[in-house]
This record gives sequence, structure tokens and C-alpha cells, in this order.
Amino acid sequence: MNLGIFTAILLFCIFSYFFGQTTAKKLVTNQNLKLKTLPTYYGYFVALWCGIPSLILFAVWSLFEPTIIKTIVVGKVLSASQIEAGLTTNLIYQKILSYSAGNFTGDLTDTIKIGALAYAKITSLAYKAKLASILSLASIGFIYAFNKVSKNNNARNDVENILKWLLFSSSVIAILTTLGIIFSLLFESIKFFSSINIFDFLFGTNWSPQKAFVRDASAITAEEYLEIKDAFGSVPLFAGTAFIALIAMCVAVPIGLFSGIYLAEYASYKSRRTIKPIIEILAGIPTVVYGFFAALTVGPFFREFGESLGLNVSSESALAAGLVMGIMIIPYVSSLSDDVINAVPQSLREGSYAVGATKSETIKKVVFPAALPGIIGSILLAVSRAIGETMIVVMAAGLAANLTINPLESTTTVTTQIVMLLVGDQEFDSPKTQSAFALGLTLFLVTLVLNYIALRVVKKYREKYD
Amino acid sequence: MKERKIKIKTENLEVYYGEKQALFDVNLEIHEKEVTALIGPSGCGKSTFIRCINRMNDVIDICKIKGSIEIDGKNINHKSIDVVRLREKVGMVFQKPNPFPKSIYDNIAYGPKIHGITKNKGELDNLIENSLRKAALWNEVKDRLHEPGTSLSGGQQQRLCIARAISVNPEIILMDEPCSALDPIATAKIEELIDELRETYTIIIVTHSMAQAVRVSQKTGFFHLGKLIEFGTTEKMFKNPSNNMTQDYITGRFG
Amino acid sequence: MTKDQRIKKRHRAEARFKLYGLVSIILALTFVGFLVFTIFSKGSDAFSKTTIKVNVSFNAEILSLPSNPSLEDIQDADYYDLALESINKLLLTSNPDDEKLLKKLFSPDFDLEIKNYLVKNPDLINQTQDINLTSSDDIDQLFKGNFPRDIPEDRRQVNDRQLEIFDELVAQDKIQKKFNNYFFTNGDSRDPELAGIGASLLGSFFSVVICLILSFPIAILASIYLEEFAPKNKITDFIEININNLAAVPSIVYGLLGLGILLGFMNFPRSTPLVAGITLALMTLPRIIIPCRASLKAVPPSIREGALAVGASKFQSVFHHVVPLSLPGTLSGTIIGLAQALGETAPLILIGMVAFVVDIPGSPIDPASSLPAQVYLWSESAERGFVEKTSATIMILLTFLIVMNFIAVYLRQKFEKKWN
Repeated sequence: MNLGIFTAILLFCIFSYFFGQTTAKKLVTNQNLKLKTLPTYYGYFVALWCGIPSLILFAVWSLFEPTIIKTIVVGKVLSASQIEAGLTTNLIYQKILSYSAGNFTGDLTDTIKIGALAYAKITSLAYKAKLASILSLASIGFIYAFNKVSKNNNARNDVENILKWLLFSSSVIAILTTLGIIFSLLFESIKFFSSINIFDFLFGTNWSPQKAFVRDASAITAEEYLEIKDAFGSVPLFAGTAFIALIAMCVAVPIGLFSGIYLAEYASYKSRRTIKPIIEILAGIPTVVYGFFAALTVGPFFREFGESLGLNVSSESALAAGLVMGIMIIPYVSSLSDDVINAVPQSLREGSYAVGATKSETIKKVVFPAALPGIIGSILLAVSRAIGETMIVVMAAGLAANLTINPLESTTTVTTQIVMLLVGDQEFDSPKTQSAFALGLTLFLVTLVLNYIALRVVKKYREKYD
Repeated sequence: MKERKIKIKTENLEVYYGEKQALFDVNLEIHEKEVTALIGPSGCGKSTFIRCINRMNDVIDICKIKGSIEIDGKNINHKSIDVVRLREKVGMVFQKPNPFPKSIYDNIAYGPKIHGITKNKGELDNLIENSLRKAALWNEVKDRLHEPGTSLSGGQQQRLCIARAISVNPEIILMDEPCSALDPIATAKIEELIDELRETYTIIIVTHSMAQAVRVSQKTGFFHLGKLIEFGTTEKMFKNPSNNMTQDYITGRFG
Repeated sequence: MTKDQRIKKRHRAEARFKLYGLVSIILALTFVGFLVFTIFSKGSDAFSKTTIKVNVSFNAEILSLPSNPSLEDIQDADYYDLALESINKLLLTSNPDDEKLLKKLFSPDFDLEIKNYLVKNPDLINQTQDINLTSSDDIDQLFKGNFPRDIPEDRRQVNDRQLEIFDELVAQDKIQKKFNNYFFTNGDSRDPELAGIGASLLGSFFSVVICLILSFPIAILASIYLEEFAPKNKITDFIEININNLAAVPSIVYGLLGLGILLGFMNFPRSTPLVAGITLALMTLPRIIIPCRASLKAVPPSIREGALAVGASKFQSVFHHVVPLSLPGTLSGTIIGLAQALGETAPLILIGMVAFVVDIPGSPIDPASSLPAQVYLWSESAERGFVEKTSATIMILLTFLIVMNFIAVYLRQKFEKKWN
């Protein structure tokens, strides 16, 4: 359906291109005008005027269509019949959709039939309206552009101005994405913090959100509130996240840094060219693979090894998750520090060799201090990755929120809890779901600050030696 | 003028960068406590030559050296020679001043510290003061020893690098176009300094400026396309060169 | 300490330091090797399945087919009784207990397999034919040698009598190893022997294609703007900061974005490649823009000046000269960005792509899974058959990633001009 409209727009554009081009050529032959620019630009000009407004309308319409249809259908259903107990409008709408798509299983109720009828009507109406309005917008654009062309405008300048706006709007999408992230996180978080005190969330030490399962946040009674008030203390999650990230950094920083130093300072050009890509394979492996590796190989290995020593090791220990996460991060540290070390000017090394320093003395006392800001920047970036890493901890760290510093016990992290809270069907009105967004917001802010500092440090460092 | 003792002697020295040969059969004797200037057009191998003397070319993977270089009669490329000790004995000053991103004090303390030359802080302070005095920098920096070395002006930075080279008591100082990045006044100061340092050290200076060679050196060698064309006293070289190419070069007909 | 001692000590420190570096490299390489080895050693079994040869006589009476059955009749017939009868003939003696055990040797779809065979060869009616039916996961693992037989019976999936039957069938050469086509064509299933990556493979394909369609043009246009046209002002700075930060935002945050805006606010259909593709595109965009900009920046200004000097407009100089020259770097950055998107799991979990999808999706708005999501889903199952399938899925996923990365590197090395 949408594909059809899209093809129609494209065909219209191609047609307008050739139309604009031939019109311009005719101006030369019929009216003996000298064109201000090449005929193809007149073609582009008409095609752009025809295509861009209609594509924008198409995109905006498609984005909001499902919501509007849903509102109308749900409204029809509500006015026509009573809703059975225990069903929310979302659930009913899901059923209507699957009935309309022809893969419905379960009890067919009148509500669903009425809804499906309304749905079918509205979708076909919407489709017609969409097609008509898009085609008419394309025609308006076409006529406008055609008028200008027959007046022999400077089509190249006009086309370039349109393109410039197109380029600009493409780069503004980055800002829109950030806004979208902030909006979606804030929207649910504010609802969450209106029912749960923000200080209870930030400083509470007990995390058990299942207490608040399927409860409408807007209708929580005072008693219920007392019960769930203490269920959303996120300190154990932050502690667990920091703890696992710390273990990961203890693995990744020494190995990554020494690898980077070795590659930059000792390895021959040839071995550097082969070793570096192999280590970078580690960075290209999807995190879910590391998670599988941690859960299936490393976790059980630690448990059995611990048992043989008489230790009680959880098979979902922080150590296993942290270790595997550390392995994942090695290439980030090694590649970045290799780059940073390479950026240190050769003249500094020569100055040090010239007074008779050995290679390691030069590295430790001249190169490393000079590269330190860059290295710190890259380690900060790695920390931010470790904090935001999800799959490894979801699969290999625990689910229970223990406040512990024993690496052999299981701990949970912010990202694990977000996944656990949101997997499966969500009810947007439950504080349980909203708490995931509040966790997401804190995660976003923490990584944002880390990234911002790290990127600035690295940038300043680069500028120093450029 | 009496002939001094031979400090450095090269025989059939050839240097290759991968496939490319950079020096051809260089035979040269450099005498103690003299300034030897090496001149020649760009890319003629002067810098390659002095970088052989403290084995700075070791850093470059593809560089191969044939022939012998002897300092005080010992072949420095022999495997019994420790490059670290060699470089302690043969200091170097580079084309562009390259102070470490540390304080002035630490820049000079670096060498003595790694070699363990001084026993305590007092000795180290003395050594630093001496080195700076010898490099004619002491008066300008004595009040700000703990400011970063990079905060100095270009000429001061280069003298700091000379002080750094002196700090480990070398016998030979190699200078690779030390004034090319400096203005005339700073250059004059460095040249004056070289003249003083000649009392204590054997100096080899690579220079682009023939006037500078005349001003500071006693001996001059002329390199062209990797070959040593002529070598002799500076006076003779500039007044009465024996080779036509040298003649052409010093009169500015090419290069 | 004499000078010689001191030098010796310094050289020892040097050797030690170098050793640390070497050990680190070796450790990192060992990790790569170990990881790949574990996955491949576990996964290679999943590409074969075990079949049991059964002699089936397609008796029209048992199937209650009319005398001249149409293809539709054949399709609608019930094959369960026929299938049961055929497998019971494997044993010479008939014993109700044995028959139950025997049925458990086969996959639950064994009657469907017989049906599909007849649908393909309808002229076999009232004739007999040897058909290789897929065995159950337990027999599969037993035949592959992954089950220890010497543990007590009550801790085994396969009991002693079944083992006897199995050994007899092996002796008759009726049990064979075949290429596991189900693994590639089937959707998900509760039974490991029937589970396949068909649905997730297509889901991944649709998602990545949508991601490519959305992110590639926008990324190129945005990088051209920032590198060639953007004035030096606060808006440009702000855009740059945004892009650099977005590239480092944890992927799960994009999942929250997709969940909150696309599913929650705009009511897009859940668990579909469409939503996955849009979410991944938003995530991939900054990751593509950064290499694209670097590659545009690498084109020297002299090229632009050369074009401008013959009277080209700024746009012409950029689009005719700079963009084509930067294309190898741009494409290779895009491919690497897409490879990351292909391996991404966390945001997909939040938008419901981790779903039990049996049907192969026909379009981007049908529910689907994706390869990494399938890995996550199966990794939760304890059966040995699923462990094997998970590893095999990882092998497929890694193969795709390696190929994509290889193409990216090739493009860059082969076509990128080196500017001096």
C-alpha cells in the first residue's frame, strides 16, 4: 500500500524531470531564449519541487497514521459496546488488528467485530485520502515549478538552494534524535517520579520492582504506595554496574594498554599490520556472542573451579560477566591508545634516545606522560561502553539486586534491569515499566557526561600535536 | 695548528633505507675538540651520516648499515656495544627544538636520572645549573625552572635541548641543523655557544648555511647525493676547494 | 651500584617491559582464538541432523483418500495413523509400550514429513517407499555422540529400551546423518530438531535493509553538509557535539527510544523489522557520519580548488569531484556501521524482536526475530540441541560480519586514493 504510493511519487518525479528538461529546451527553440543554465537543472528543479513536499507529507502522514486510526477505532468501539472486564484498550486493539490481518485465534467477541469493521473502513478511507492529498501536493509543486521554468529562472541556483536545505535538514536529524531520546526518557520518567519520590529512587537500597507489578500508576492508593515506595531503590543497580565495569576495566586496561604500547612501539610494521586487525575482531563480535560465551563457558568454568577450591561461586558471578566484558573492551583500549601513542611526535622519542634512554624508559617517562590525556580519554570512553553494555550482563550476570562487593556472588546492573522490566508485553501505566525509563535516563545522563568529557579531552590532545 | 687526536673514524660506510642507498662509501676522520661542519644540498645524506654516529637510525626498521664507524678506535656497530651507553657518550641536538612536555628542570634532570649520574638532590641541582650555564641559558631561566620547557621561545628551547644533551657529560655532540628553525638573533647566540662548547666537546654540525659553517667550524665536509665529495679544513674548503662540484656549490651555482 | 650493574638492571627492566607487552598481545589473541574455537566446536553439529529410515506404504484406505485423489485431497488427508503404522513396522514384535517409546524417537512433525513427501510425489499412492524421517533431538544427540550412555537410567532422556531399539536400528543401518535443511528454512520451534533460523534470518535481512535505506542517504547528506557547507557557528558546533555523543550512547537507550516513541507514541506494530530498522538506523546514523566525514576530509582542498577554478559552482565541485573520490571510504564506513547494526541485540529486545516467531515473515511489517535475538532466545534453553543451534547461529552471524568487514577493508584498500 505504502509502497504503491511511494512508487507513484517516484514515477511522478521522473516524469517531471523529463518534462522540465524538455520545456527548457523548447524555450530555446520556440522563443529563442538563452537559457541561464543547463536544461538538466530545469529538470531537477521541477522534480525536486514535485518530490520533496510530497515525500515529506508521505513520511509525516505515515508516522502519525497508526495513532490516529487507533484513536478513532478505539473511540468507535467504546461508544458501541462495553468492554469486558480485565481487558485494556491496548489489548483490544491488538486483537482487532490481528483479526483484521486474518491471524486471529481465541474468542471472537462483538467488540472485536465492530472494531474490525471500523478499522477496515477507516484504513481504506485513510488510504484514499493519503493518495489524493499526496498526488495533489505533488501536482501543486509541479505547477509552481513549471511556471518558474517557463519564465527561465536560474534553475541551478534554485536547485542548489533547495539541496542546501536538504543537506542541512539531514544533519539536523542528529539533534532530533537526541531530542527524541530525551523526550521519550523524560516523558515516562516524569510520570514515574510523580508516583515514586526521586530521592527514594536515587538513594534507596532495596530494588524489587515486581512488587509493583501491573498497577496503574495514576490510581495507586496510599496503602499501596507505602508498600511499593521502597521497591525502587536503585543503589544496588548502580553499585552492581560500577562493580562489573570495574572488573572489566581491571582486565581491559592493563592488557589493552600494554598491547597498544607494544603495537605502537615494539612491533614491526608487518606484525602490526597482522596483529591489529585480529585484535579488532574482538570489537566486531556482537555482544550477544560474548554473553553466550560468558553464560555457557566462563560462568560454569568459574563455578566448577571455585567448587574444586571449596568456594561457593555463583554461576552468574560478577567476575564472569566482568571478565568477558573486559575481553570485549580490550580492542577499544588498545586501538585508541595505539593511535594516541602514535600521535606523540617522533622528535620527543629521539630526544630521549639521544641522551641514552632505553626504549622502555622513553615510553614510561616521555611518551606515556605526553600521551596521558589521550589515554585517559580513551579509557573514559571504554568505561562508558562498559556501563552501557547490555547483552553480556543480561545473559551472564544475575537478576537479583544484591548489594555486594564479592565478585563471586551474582549482582545485577542497570541495563539488565531495564531489559528485565521491559521484556514481553508492557503496560505503560505501571510504575514498573516507567522505572525502566527512569533507569534509562540515569544511564543516558551518566554516559553522556563521560562521553562529553572523554571526547573533549581527546580532541584537545589531538589539537596539541596536530 | 697542531693535529688533534682522531675521535671518530668511518670506513666504507654505506647506508640503505630498504632498497634505496642513502650513503656511498664514506671515509672520514673527525678530530677531537673541533667543530666539524657538514654541508651539502637537501637529501645528500648529511643527516643520515650523523644519525649513524649515535645509532639513531636503529629506530628505523628498514635501515641497514655497512662498513665501520669507530669512536676512540671501537666499532660502535659491534654487538658488544650497548647503544644506551653509546648515546650517553654521543649527545644529539635536533633540527626542531624538542623539549619534553615537562618542566625545564625535569627536561635536564631526565638524562642524569636514568643514568644514575648524581647521588642526591644537591648534586642534581648543581649539575642542572652547570648544564644550563654551559648552554648560556641559566640567567634567563633560573627563576622559572619549574615552568614547562615548551613555554620558552624557540631559541631558548634549542639551548635547553643543548643543555639536556650536555647534562649526561657526553664527549661528542651531534647537531642536526640546530638553527634552521630559529631567527637570526637566536642563531647568533647558538653559534657563540658552539664556539665555547668546542673547548670541552667534539662537535659535528649539519648545516644548510655556508656562512654558518665558515663561522663555527674548523673542518668541513661536503656531501652530494650520498657521497662525501670533499673534506678538509674549513678555510681551505671555502677559499680553495679542490673539487669542481664543491666550488659550484659554495659559489651558489646549485643546491 | 657500579655503572655496569646499573646498566644491566636497566636492560632487565627493558626486557621485562617488552615482555608485558608481548604477554598482553598473546593474551588478547588467545581470547580471540578460544572464543572462536568454543563456538565452532559446539556449533558445527547443528548443520547435520539424524534421520531414521522408515518404510512407508501409502495406503489410500488408511488415508481415506478417494479413488482418484486430487492434490488437495492429498494435502487435506490425515497422515498420523499411517505414520504410526509405518514406524511401528520398524520393530518385528508389537508391544504397546514399545510403540510409545518408538514414537519418541521421531520429531513431533513426523507425519507432516510423510505428507510433504507424498505431496511432492503424488503417484506413490498405494506404493511403498523408504523415507528418511527426522529423529527427535535426544536420538540426534545420541547419534552424534553427545550423550553419555553410562549414567543411570533415571538421569537419561533416553531409557534402556530405547537405547536397545536405537542400537538395533543403527545395526540395520537405518539411522543416518543428513544435511539439516530445517535449520535454514524453518522458523523457531519448541523442539530443537525442528527449530531453524529462517524467520530470524529474514527478519535481520529486512531490518538491515531498512536501516541501510534510511541511514545511508541521510548520513552522506549530513556529512557533506558538515564537511563542505556548514558555516562555523554555534548550530554547527551543536550538531557536531550531538553526533559525536550519539555515536557513544549505549545501544539500549536507542531501544528505549524505539519503545517510547515508535511503539508507545506512534503505535507502530510491535516485533516488526520496520521498527527494528528505524531504531537501528537512528543508532547507526552517527556511526556512519563519522567515517564519512573523515573520508570527505581526506580529499585534498586542491581538488575543490581545481574544480572551482574552471568555473564550477560549489555544489558542482563537491558532487562531481569530492563525493566520488570519497566514495570508497564512505561505503566502507557504511558497511561497518551496518555490520554493527546486524549484530545489535539490546535495542531489539526492547521493541519486541525477541519473540517466538514460527512463521517466516513475508514483509517488514510481519512479526519477526533477528539473528542475534535468536541467539539470545535460544541461549536460555537448556537442551543440548539448542546450545548447538545457538552456536551455529553465531557461526552464521559471524560469517556475515566477517564478509561485510572484509568487503569494507577491501573497498578501502583497493579504491581509496592515497593523497600526499
